[in-house]
Amino acid sequence: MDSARWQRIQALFHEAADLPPAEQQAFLKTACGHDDGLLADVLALLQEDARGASLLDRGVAHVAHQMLDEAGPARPALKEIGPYRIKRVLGEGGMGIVYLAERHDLGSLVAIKILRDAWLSPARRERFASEQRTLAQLNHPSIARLYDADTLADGTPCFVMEYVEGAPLTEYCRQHESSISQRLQLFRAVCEAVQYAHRHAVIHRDLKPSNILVKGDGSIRLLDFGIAKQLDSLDMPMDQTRTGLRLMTPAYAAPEQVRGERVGIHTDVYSLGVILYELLAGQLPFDLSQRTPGEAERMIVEQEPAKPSEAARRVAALPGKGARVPAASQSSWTDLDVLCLTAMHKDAQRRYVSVEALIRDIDHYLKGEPLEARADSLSYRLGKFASRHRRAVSAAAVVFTAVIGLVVFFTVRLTIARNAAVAEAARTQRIQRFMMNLFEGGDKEAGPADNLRVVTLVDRGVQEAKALDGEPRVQAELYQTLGGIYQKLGKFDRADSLLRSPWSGAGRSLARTTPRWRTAWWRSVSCAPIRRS
Amino acid sequence: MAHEFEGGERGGTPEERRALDDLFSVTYEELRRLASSVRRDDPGATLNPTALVNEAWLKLANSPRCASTSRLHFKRIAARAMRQVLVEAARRRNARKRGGGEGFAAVTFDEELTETAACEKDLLVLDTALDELARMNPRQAMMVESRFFGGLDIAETAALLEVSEATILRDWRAAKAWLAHELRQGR
Repeated sequence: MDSARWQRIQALFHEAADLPPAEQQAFLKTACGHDDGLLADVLALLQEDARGASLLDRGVAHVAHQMLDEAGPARPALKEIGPYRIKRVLGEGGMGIVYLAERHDLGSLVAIKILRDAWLSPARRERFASEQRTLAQLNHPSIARLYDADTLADGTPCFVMEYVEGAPLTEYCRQHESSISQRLQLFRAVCEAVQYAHRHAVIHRDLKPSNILVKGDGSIRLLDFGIAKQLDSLDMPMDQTRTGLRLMTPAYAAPEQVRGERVGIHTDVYSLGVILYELLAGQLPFDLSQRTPGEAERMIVEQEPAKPSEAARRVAALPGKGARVPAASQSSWTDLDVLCLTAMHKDAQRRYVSVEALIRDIDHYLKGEPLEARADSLSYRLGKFASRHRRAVSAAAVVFTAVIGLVVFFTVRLTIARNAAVAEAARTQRIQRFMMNLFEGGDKEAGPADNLRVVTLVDRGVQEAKALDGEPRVQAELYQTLGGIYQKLGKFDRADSLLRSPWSGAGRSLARTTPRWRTAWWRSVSCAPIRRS
Repeated sequence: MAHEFEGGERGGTPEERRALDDLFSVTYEELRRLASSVRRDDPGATLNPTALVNEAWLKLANSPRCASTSRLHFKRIAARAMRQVLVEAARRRNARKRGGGEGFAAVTFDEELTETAACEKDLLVLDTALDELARMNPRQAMMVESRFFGGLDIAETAALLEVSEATILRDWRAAKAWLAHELRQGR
């Protein structure tokens, strides 16, 4: 029907509807003229209008009730999905159901995960499938393969994955009573798989021991890569407070996940930290089992966990629980505490920047090297080094001490010798000045006189020496020497007054230690008149 | 049935269109989730799409996707999403009854056929008829969709379509009569 005709039908319908039923027929016959079709159409509308019992009158609630019935709890058992025949339920969790299924044609076993309460609108289904195909490219021996993913007819996403037989990581370690280093080796393998996915821009978002299976041969398989993202994007608009807890396993969820903030590599690093915590301490950092979602959320966001070492000690003290906790020395625990708590730091910025960095520190720990996370402490690094190379370090310490001893010894000797040399140079200089003054006689302009008697020179020297009050050692030396010359010249009274002066004793002792300059002085003094005459 | 918005409603920049598609998808998924959770909590409960739409709005209103969406506009989108949810469910039931598969996504349930068959049929006919009404008079089709699937009242519908309430009443009466006739024909 075209718009114009519909317009006309409506106009007639409204006009007729306003009339008493008895007059409607007559009015319409006139109005429609020879157009019997038009008349029939308008009459049909009037009939329906009077009846008023269509679907539209009953309301949508009735329809919805009938149509969406299958979403109820008594959802009938699924028998097959595409080419797969469902064999049994492998597990059922908050997120969905996992079935063991067999491919009709190949007989191969797969695990099929169906997400509960997650429907994709038709517009999104193709995008979902293409995203999952990207995930199927992840090819790592420790990551369970994702073979296929699609939506069921009602838009429920489902994933066909490699079927892995194994025990969850924590379970495995408990059963095998694995040592710390065995646990760390397994954990390291988990980290490597996560790191591989991160390199391919895939974040797990829901890492937890039940998603990490250890096979009989001791190899590990990570399940559910990328599935949480799908869930997360579906659930984002839900009220934010419930988001994280509803979809993620709260015990392993990072604070930013709980707060509904952006997740990334750091989110997986956090979850890995919690898993490591559980492996080491035998219990989770937070006991959320008796908590309401709100309380659990607050604990994850605000509460600092006890150190794994403390938690382990507490668990070990519980009767019958000792076997759950691996043994480690006190110094190992210090590092393990740091390793664990750095990975699960509340502030994403202060965690390991990547899983690779976490792996590096695990390796450092296993080799007894210093952790990068503890790089700030020098004493720690030295301590680490010393314990790693105990014999080499003690040998080095002996050599080092010897070298230091020698260096100190020679430095002290050199300093003494240098000081002596400096002092002597100063004295020599002073004596030279003294000599110059002796000959100049205080008259620099006139210069030395032509005929000077030795005794005049010595007298002048005594006067000069008396002026050297600021240099008592030089003064004493001069008195001693000048006194000696007076004696040789036969001027014994003058000699006595000089040699008995308060400084002569000191002068004598000094003279003994510094004989060279005195001899030089004496020689120059005794030679002077000879040369001049 | 059209999955997304066409015609005048598909105007705007590509980003705006994407945002609208996105909001539509999210609303669709939320409505399904709500419907399912209502049924799980109380299997006997009546699913009231109007209540579901309101609840979906309460949940989605604070999300960034709805930042620039008014409540009225949201209800309009939710109405279309609800229509799609219900029609899809009807199609699925119909397909299953005929024993047809849908390729990979085929699901087989052990299920007895119920008396909902009439309802299913009505819904599918209504869907087709609404598409035809949209060709004859887009405003009326939008009105029916919003009122029936989204639970908008007269005043809201008038505000949404920018016409008087009297016009809505008139249009509703005529469109309802025509659709009822189509439904009867389709049986």
